[in-house]
Amino acid sequence: MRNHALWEKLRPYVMIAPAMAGIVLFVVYPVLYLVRLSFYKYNLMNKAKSKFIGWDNYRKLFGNDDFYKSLVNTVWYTVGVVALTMILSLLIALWLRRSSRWNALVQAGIFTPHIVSIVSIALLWLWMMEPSHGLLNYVLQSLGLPTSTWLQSSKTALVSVIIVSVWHGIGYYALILVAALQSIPPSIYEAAALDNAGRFKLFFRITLPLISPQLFFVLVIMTIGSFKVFDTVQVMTDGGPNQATSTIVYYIFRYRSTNIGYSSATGVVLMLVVGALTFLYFRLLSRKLHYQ
Amino acid sequence: MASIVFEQVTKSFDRTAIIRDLDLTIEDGKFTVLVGPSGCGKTTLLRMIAGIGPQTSGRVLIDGKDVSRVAPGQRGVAMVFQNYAIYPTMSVRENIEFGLKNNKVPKEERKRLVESIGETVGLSGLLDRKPSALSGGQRQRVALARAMVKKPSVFLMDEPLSNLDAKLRVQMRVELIELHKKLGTTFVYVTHDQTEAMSMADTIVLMNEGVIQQMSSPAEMYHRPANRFAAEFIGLPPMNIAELGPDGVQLGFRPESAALSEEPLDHHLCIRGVIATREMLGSETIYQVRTDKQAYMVRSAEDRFEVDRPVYVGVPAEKLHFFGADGRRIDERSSDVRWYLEAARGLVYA
Amino acid sequence: MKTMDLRYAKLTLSAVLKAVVLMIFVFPFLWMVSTSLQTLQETTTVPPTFVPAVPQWNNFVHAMQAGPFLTYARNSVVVTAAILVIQFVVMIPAAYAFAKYRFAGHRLLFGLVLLAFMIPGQVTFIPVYLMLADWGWIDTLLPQIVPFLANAFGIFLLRQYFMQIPEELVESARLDNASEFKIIWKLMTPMSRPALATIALFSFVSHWNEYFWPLIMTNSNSVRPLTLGIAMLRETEGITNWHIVMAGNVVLVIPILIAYAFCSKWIVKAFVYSGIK
Repeated sequence: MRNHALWEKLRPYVMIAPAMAGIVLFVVYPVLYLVRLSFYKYNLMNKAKSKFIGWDNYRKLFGNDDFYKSLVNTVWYTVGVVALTMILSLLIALWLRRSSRWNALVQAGIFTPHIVSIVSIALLWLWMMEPSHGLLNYVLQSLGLPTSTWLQSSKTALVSVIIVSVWHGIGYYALILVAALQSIPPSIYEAAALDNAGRFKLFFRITLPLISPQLFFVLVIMTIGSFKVFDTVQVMTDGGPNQATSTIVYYIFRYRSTNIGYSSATGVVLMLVVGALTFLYFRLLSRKLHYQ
Repeated sequence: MASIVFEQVTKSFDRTAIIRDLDLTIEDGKFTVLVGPSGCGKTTLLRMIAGIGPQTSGRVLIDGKDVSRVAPGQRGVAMVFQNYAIYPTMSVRENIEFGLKNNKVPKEERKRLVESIGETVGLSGLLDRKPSALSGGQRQRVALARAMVKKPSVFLMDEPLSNLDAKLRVQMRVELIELHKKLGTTFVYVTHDQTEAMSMADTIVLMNEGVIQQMSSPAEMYHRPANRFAAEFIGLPPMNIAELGPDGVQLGFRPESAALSEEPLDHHLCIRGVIATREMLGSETIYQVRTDKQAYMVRSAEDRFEVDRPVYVGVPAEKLHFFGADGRRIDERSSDVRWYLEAARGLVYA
Repeated sequence: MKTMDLRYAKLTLSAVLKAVVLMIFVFPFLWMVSTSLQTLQETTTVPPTFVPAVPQWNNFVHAMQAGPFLTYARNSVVVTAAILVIQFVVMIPAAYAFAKYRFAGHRLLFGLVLLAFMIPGQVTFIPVYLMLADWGWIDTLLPQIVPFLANAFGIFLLRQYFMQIPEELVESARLDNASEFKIIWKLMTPMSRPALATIALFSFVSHWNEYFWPLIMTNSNSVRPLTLGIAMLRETEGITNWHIVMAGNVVLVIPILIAYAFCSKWIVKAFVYSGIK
């Protein structure tokens, strides 16, 4: 009987133990280890030769133009992707909100890229954005529009990467917003119609507040996702040309074997930036959200 | 078959005691109804018997054995939940069988038991359906069958009829009474509906705020309510209560004990008032009679009285109840009652 | 009459616009297939070739011979399948414990799960790599599997789902003398099929398509997955042999697209479910 009571107490811990072990071993411990590494000059060949160098890695990092360039690129990339995706997916969702066969088909089509590997997407667009034989320039030309150098010039490379990312992700967010719009009870609109509310008012006073939790979800998930962009850049541009598309994760990746301490310090900065952004979002926006 | 005993039982949620030092004996083989307003602790008592919400301190005995440390599945009790708690991914047969399987009843035996129970509760043709394809009444029967098939020594029911429509509820009430008669096991039934309690119980346990207010037969509870709470909880509409004297004594009478007339009546208590509202129910009519002090409900077989007409309400002496300042019933054999009866006569409004 | 015309025009415009949008998202995949069947000459013509004169099935043979693609494919299958199985074994009891038991420290521990959900592999990969190298795991498939044994997102989603299942069902099962294991296996798991399907799908898509993690964790072809193999095609085939690169790409993408074509309705539903919670 006593054993039974003891087991009842222990059981929850036993049940979560494997999961918690995984999380501690592969998330919590690495984060702490990362912070520690960032204060070391790490020697990959001979660990004993690693030495503690205090804030040196950080000092070097914040004195490095390439790092700032990567940071700025990442910020622009994030702003571009988040803004474009939010606006376009909201427009698409409003446009396709009515459930019909046609709309379902278009939604399924827009969603398709999301389940395909970003490597494939990157290769495919790399081919389409090829300046001389690529499909995109041909289409622009036949429409009488000026062609672009796309990924091959430092002026247009980042925008090109942003276009690919938006194309890849927008379907998922549009779907979430469509579902959010469809879950608004029609009686609310009927009541508003009886109160003689105009279309403009309807959108800003009823529709937008009611889907604000989903908009918020999209915003947070996308910001975190955009800040860690790597695959697209690595496959499409290798950070180039002339570092025009180098991002923070790409920067970490570049130094991962040559200078582990320095690379770790960059990782810590990335983590802090993402953490601060998430925190800020929750503080600023959660008050204005309408939760049903 | 088993009796259930609570000994000095306390139950707390987050350090607030819902029930404190409660003693209660539920008799073997009786149909006992725990009744009271929501939050009074009746369901908490039931869950303690089942073992799914064990007591914080004290002992619970089933058939004389302390079950405080016995797992719910091994107490020999079965429960019908308010929402039936039917396993939605299992067929009706699997639902009924689930407990038997867990108790390692052999397959042949299981099949026989499920089919005979299915017949008893009228589910024969539906055994292989999924619960989602059943009506509310049929689900109710599945829940009952699932409880019955285990041949429990105690049947626990938590408001099992509250999700049924009015007509079906009355029918199921009769069926449950018959079922109890047939099985002869201990039934403990929780409800907030006093009509259900009155119509089904051998013994009613009336609770309020974690305390047992009265435990008696339905007739006793109706005719001799132990306190004001019991008087006002049982009966529809509830008992009329009026202030009587300076020592805080109150008098009460049931709406159906009063007579109405346009002429003054020579009953022991006679009140003059005006009809404020009138609810015609067919076989009877419920009037609200307003005096300058308060309103009284009167239940009458006659429907000829009209709203805004002055009337007299008369109540005979033997139908009057008296309650002390603490709310408790003052026994009609006690010597003080004569005084109060005199005082009641003085209430006549001229 | 005029308003009728206007209405009609509006409807037509909307339909055309929908077709255009659909094309923007679907045509690139058709273009990929078309390129994969062209000759080198055809890929360089202006205007571009849309339908190859003679489908060049040889491109696929060529692409598959550029590297050990059978090994890549096997690695992708083994890694993804192993992750899915392990994640479910780990996730279901954890989600159940977080949903249905109150125990000391459950808030803190669940906080860790949420934290794990927020911190991406792009932050932790350096220390994890060093740790796994210490364990001698590099050049095995383990570094691509074991770090993902706890699916924080899955635990979170499944816990929310479990919490919605009425407590009475669990209590009723306990009264039916069912063990906790049986409650999870016979009651909770069948009831949470929609959530489990969503989690499985998410996990499958993200691990089948994973690029960053294997890129970091592998040094030899014997343990690389398909995504890396295809990406390497571009290096081995130079920057001109687009027909070969696209052929490799088709091999990676087409199985997923075919699966999607058949159950898109279901897949879309599962993905939406994840975002609405």
